[in-house]
Amino acid sequence: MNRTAGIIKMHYRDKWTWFIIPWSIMMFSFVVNLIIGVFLRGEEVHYTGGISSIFIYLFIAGMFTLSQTFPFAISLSARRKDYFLGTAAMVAMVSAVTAAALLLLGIIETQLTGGWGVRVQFFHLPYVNDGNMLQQLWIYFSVMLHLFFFGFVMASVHRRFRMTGLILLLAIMLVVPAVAVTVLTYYRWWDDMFGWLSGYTAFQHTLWMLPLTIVYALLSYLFLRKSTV
Amino acid sequence: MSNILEVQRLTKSYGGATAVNEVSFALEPEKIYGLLGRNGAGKTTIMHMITAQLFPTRGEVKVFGENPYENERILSRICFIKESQKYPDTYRVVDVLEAAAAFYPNWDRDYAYALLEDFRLPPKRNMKKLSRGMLSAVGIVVGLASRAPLTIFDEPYLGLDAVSRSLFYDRLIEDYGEHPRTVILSTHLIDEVSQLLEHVLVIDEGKLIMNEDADALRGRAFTVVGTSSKVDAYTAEKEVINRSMFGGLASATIVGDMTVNDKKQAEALGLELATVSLQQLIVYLTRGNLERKAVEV
Amino acid sequence: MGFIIDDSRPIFMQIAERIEDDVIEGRLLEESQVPSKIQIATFYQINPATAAKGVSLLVDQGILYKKRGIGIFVATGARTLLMEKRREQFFEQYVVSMIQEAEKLGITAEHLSEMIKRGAKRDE
Repeated sequence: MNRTAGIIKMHYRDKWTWFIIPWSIMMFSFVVNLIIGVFLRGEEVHYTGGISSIFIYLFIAGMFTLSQTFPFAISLSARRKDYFLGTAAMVAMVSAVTAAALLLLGIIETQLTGGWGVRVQFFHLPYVNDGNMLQQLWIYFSVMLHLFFFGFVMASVHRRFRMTGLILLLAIMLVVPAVAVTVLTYYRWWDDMFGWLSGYTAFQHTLWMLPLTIVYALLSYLFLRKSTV
Repeated sequence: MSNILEVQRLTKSYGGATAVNEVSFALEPEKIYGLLGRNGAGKTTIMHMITAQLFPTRGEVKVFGENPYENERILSRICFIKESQKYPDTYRVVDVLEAAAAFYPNWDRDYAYALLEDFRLPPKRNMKKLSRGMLSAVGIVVGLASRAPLTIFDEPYLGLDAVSRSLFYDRLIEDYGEHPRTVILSTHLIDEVSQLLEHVLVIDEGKLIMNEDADALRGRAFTVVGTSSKVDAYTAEKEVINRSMFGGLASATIVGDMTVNDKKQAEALGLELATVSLQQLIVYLTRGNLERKAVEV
Repeated sequence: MGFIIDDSRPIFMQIAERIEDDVIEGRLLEESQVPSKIQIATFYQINPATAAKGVSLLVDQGILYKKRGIGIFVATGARTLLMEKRREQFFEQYVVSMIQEAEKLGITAEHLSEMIKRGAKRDE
């Protein structure tokens, strides 16, 4: 059997991590919002941010899956390369399936049930869900992939350089935004920046996220190549 | 047939501490080896380097003639079962077996499930809820069912009861008989496995101090007991690895094959002779170090 | 397990001795098949290669012989051969050391043979 496929199988057997937990969290949020919607009697459209839980979850999964599965995979005589490729493939599949499900639920929400009968907008949000279907799918998919690899590259820094590396990384992650804020304030660039951000659609923003995602993925692969169990 | 594993001057240092120091040895195919030594002697570190899970500071590892690092052809022929194995939190016993099935080309599924029953392992039980002995048993099941040409067990029977240990030895012997392969049993509990071993490697403080045929070592050392002056006279020109006193009596353990002359000389001095077990021999050889260290401290 | 292996002597020699005992005591008849190395190994919980080494020691001595593709068998005349070998060993192991010990205790040769007769009678 192809060993990359073996890694996918290894992840797939962990249904709690990939399916049950994220969907339970989101559906719990959905039900709560539906109940709120019932109390509001559908007098106005009730927008929620509950869908974000699944995106945040992927970031957390990216951080934790490495310590959960890397030592196990390596001890099953998998190559580090197999582990990386298999994990990336698994995340791509999970993201694709999740994106499709979200889109479908969004269609049911807006076009079939009128906000589940109580004008709740949970799966379909303004701005994010602008653009055509393919673009919407891509937005979900690329954001999930991006967040996963953001968590994953942090975990691989920890795996490769242990605590020292992670602390250094976190320090950089604190310093860079602080410097950015200072620069933006000093040069009074805030308005320009917001203008620039809102000048593009969500879909256009995901396009500049893509190279960043690739950089995260490549870096995590480089770190894992030299990681030990 | 050529060696399946060759280790050349393998060294691993952490900062100033040397965990493995210039270890060299070679393993022949289809033998059962014992990698023996005290806890912390460096056995686990060596096995991690053999399987490319840890990187040597210096030295060379060749498995089936090649460097195992990121080498699919080589890694797929190695199964390393470690005592401290981590599993994904949500994994059940059955998940471990199914994942393992994807990585070992010779995996025998029916055999794995039969072993599960032999060891009375509940397939649906979460790995986190298994006792120490059950965890060891899962490792044994994976190691045996993998039928990997190089199978390594690190402290395979921690927490296992006598029945399960005996079961492990039986299954290992049977399956090894039907599907010969190279097996390394690494342990500090020598007496349990010593008679299963064809060849022993003894590691002490990161160094390889013995690399010999197990049967050749049995009876290699002997102990003489008698009054201390006579024991001293007898051992004057010999390699003594252990000496103890009891009242006016002394006993000394000597390395070397007991020759007829040795025997006659001892008898002439009125000394009693006793053979030394393989386990006892290794204990003497590795304890010497401990005592020297204690004196330094 | 019927027998316990002694870890202070080469195991292949112990295996050879056990097979010799079986032949001498009639548990293994001449021209009957000897258990396979795996059977021996599982029974004593020892390494199959060690078991095979014990068997081949006896093959070399002509006590056992190989039938190609079938297994190992006890040779005709093996029992007589072993009895002779064992008698020789008996003399070395028991008689010589008995006489040495007897000398230490001041037992005369005459007294010693008296004691042997007495011992033989008690056994009857």
